[in-house]
Amino acid sequence: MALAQLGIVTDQRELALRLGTRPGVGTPFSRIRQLQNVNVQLTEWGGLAKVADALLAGTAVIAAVITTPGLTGWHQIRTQHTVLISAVNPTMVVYHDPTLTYGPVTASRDEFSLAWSEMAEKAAFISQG
Amino acid sequence: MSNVRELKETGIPYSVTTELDQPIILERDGEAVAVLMSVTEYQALVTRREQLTASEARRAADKAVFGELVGCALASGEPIWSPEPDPHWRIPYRLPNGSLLRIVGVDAGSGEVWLTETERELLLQQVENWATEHAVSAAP
Repeated sequence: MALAQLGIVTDQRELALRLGTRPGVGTPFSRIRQLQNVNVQLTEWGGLAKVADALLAGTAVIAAVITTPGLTGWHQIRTQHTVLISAVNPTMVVYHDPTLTYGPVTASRDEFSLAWSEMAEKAAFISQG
Repeated sequence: MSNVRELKETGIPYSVTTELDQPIILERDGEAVAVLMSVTEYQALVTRREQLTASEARRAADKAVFGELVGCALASGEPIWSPEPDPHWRIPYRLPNGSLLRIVGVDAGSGEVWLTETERELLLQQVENWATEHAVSAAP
């Protein structure tokens, strides 16, 4: 999803292999560094202002979150997950969730921050290599 | 544990009941300054204060189960308190269809998560088997 945002077409099976993705089990977040032909920067506790700046510069931003009832579609399910942030404005965060069949969806900044800070605000900033 | 100090005072007699079935609040000039309670109750309070909360236990268990995995089909449920044999929290891990795969215990005192690396890998293997059987995609 993030690569598509950068206009990069890639084979999903090859990508899963590169990232060490196991069906149902998921992907170790730091394996995102294994992506080819892009620059990847992993951060913690960077804050939404940094995300907003990156998006303006054309960088794709993946955020690691703990799912909460405040995130669309998750209700009481609590697990470690990632979303692709597409916009940050003064009140809302707009993002794509790969488990949803529709999108983008929104969450208030507070709701998003709760889910994000449970994962130490881990984020991957991906830009063209 | 708080320090034990001997108080020596000769001028003012104190009279309190020795049956401390209820805590006694000591006041100075109408302001509560101390509480007198039974040792049993005090020890229970200290123990409770030093124990992990449900949220802390769940975070510890999640960290042990998921590590840095994202996109795992497993989800943790509400921790359940268990006082015996040693006080601990029991955190259920379920598949998206609600079936229970494992309960992970967390020692309420030490915070130790009762899950070995072998048990973790077995759990993840169960999730992978389920996902494969049910053709759950693994979108990175």
